[in-house]
Amino acid sequence: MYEDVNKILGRRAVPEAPFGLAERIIAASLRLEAKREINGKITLGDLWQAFTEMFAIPQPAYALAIALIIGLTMGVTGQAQAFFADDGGGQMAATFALADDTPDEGASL
Amino acid sequence: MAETGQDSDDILMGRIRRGDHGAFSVLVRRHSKMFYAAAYRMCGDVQGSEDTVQEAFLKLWQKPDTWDPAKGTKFTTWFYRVVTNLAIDRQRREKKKFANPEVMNVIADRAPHADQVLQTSEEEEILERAIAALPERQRAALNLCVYEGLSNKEAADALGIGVKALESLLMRAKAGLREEFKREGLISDLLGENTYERRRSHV
Repeated sequence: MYEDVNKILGRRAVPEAPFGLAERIIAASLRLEAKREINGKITLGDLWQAFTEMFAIPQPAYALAIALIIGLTMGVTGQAQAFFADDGGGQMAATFALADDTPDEGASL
Repeated sequence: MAETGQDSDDILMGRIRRGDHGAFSVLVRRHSKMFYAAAYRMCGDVQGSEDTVQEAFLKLWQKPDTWDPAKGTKFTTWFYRVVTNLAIDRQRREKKKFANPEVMNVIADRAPHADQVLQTSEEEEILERAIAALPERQRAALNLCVYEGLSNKEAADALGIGVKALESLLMRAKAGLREEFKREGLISDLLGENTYERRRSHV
């Protein structure tokens, strides 16, 4: 019925998509996603979760076992005592002992 | 992650609903050219068509649940509807924005379409002008059936109308075009003479 019209319609050029159109759309969707995450409300629960995650130990059983082994090793070899004897803490104890022997200046007056 | 390149649109949409951006990327790469062509045929300019397709895909990414496979509509048919409606909305906005003829003149010089029109032949220009002058529903029906290759049922679904209504739109569109083509001399008049060819031969 409309053969003549259809014939002319068939001559219409096919528009070619601009280069990189799909990639631009994908990038825009990623930007949208990032924006949505930023704009999301931060609740007290979120803050608490972030705080506790800072102290989270990935393998608590292994961490406990290693700490135990190190502690036992130090205790058995006596290195812990040597460590405390040589450090500033030992010297500080001696200083306090000397200070007790020194006569008080106020008392002589 | 599972392979998505060979998956059907339905499967990809299922993954997109679960927030799979990889599936969304596959769907965009698969269909962006096709829907760009559809948008271009509605809008008639490069930037407007690109924006329309991008807006449609971003809406899909944000709200994938708006397509319901249980309704029995193919993804592409449904998405033609989204793109066509967005293109129509955009054209209405543009018409309002550029209602001032002085603004129209300035914009027309800068529009990418202006350059393309120069490259097309006179016949193509007449064709584009005639289609652009059609009422938007008739133009949408024509584009979907003639250029996008949708069946009458699919095109009717895409436009949200019945098949009879679609056929009526198509008939009116073609009748309008025939009148315009006759006036422009693109098709033979009642005497069987192609006035367009005759006019060209005198040039």
